[in-house]
Amino acid sequence: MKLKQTAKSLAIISTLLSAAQVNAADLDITLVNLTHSISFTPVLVAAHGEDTSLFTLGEAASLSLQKMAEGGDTSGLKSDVTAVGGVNLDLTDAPTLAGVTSMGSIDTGSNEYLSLTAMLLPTNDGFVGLDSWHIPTEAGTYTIMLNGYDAGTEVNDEIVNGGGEVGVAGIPADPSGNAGSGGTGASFNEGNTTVHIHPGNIGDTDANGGFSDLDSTVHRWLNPVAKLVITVN
Amino acid sequence: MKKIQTFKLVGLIAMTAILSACDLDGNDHASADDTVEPIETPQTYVYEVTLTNITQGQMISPPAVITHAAGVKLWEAGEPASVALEMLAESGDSSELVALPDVEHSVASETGLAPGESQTLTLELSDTDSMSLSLAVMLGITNDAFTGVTDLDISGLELNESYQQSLMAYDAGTEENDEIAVPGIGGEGFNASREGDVDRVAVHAGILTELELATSLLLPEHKFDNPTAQLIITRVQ
Repeated sequence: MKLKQTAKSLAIISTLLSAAQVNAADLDITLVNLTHSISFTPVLVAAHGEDTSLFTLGEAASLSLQKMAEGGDTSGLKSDVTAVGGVNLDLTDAPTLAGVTSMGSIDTGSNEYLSLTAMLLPTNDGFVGLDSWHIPTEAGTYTIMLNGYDAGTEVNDEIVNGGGEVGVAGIPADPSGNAGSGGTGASFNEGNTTVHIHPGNIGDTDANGGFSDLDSTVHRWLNPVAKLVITVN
Repeated sequence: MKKIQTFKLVGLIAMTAILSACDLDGNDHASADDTVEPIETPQTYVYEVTLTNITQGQMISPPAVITHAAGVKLWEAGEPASVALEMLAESGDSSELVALPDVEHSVASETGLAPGESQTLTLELSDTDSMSLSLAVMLGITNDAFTGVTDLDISGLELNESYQQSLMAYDAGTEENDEIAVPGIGGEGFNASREGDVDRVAVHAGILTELELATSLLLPEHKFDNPTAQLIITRVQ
């Protein structure tokens, strides 16, 4: 049973030891895309306070999250984070393919929580996410496996038509170049309009028709979709 | 979005404490030497157990939180399911699980959880009670999938401390996944036969839906990946 007890008492000790210091953390971030053929849009890493979150399971997505999840646009989320005194890191500034490892560093200032988002391509509104991880005060290397989430804002029709704007159905693109066309639609109903675990792509094996523009032998995944390694310096 | 339901389990403990502090012999003790004897009252621990349905389109059956001695398991991967677990996994009915002889306390809800919904059950225990917790719920739009946790030791939770766990889906192994005998869409619930399935609990492989199994009655929005539910236990007293 992973109780927070130990972490908490360690936190108290280190607070006592460094009582005069400002509670800032310098983090090295490494993100590994573990999927077979799912790309990540620009990856946003954000440090923020306890009362802020980029997304919450079981709650409706914000418009900013929707923009990121449907089109990879992180500008809204970044503004939201900055507005409450948070700090952003663009871990990547262009889509990255499956298998790619991305690295960066962030000075979190006085912010004690860390979140991460990037859209999964090709999906309608899927994203890889980390929700409000409490940054340890003890220096060390921490590994977290990340799941694929569904923003709940768009039906997973699996049709690649360039649609990445809010309110426009469809998938913007498949950077891996494996998508087909002519699909009639894999799903016609959003079962859960709050943020939830993505059920995964379905796809078919008909590149020029069928119900999906995705390839069932290429575009599937099972959780976790990414490995996040954080070094607290 | 959040449904909060509170169920009192052991109000009796508090009541006993009040009664034993009262003067029941009818005598008048207005004198100055009427000192209050210190009474050893059992300490009450109160836990809030919150479950959230984080699937895309699965109904989750009404949750029941069960406590029992450490070491009791409602299921074990690789082993056959009990009939009580089979009933839960095939029909969503937890009444047989709650009635198992090992169960010491239970709090059961009467309503299930739609996708995205949360429910909080309040569990009151005395410090002399067993502190192992189990919870099992059916993924209602499957043949015999369930999720939950079993034999979780909550004795180490300090006041206002929370424990969080993501719950994966299991297959009870008691009913072939034909995607037809599915109670959540009006199909058959419990059936004592285990013919056609492996008769052991396994991690669920997911569902196919009508897109990949011609005879399936399930739709793409019923698909799920792990985790399927989020459990948060907070000790509030």
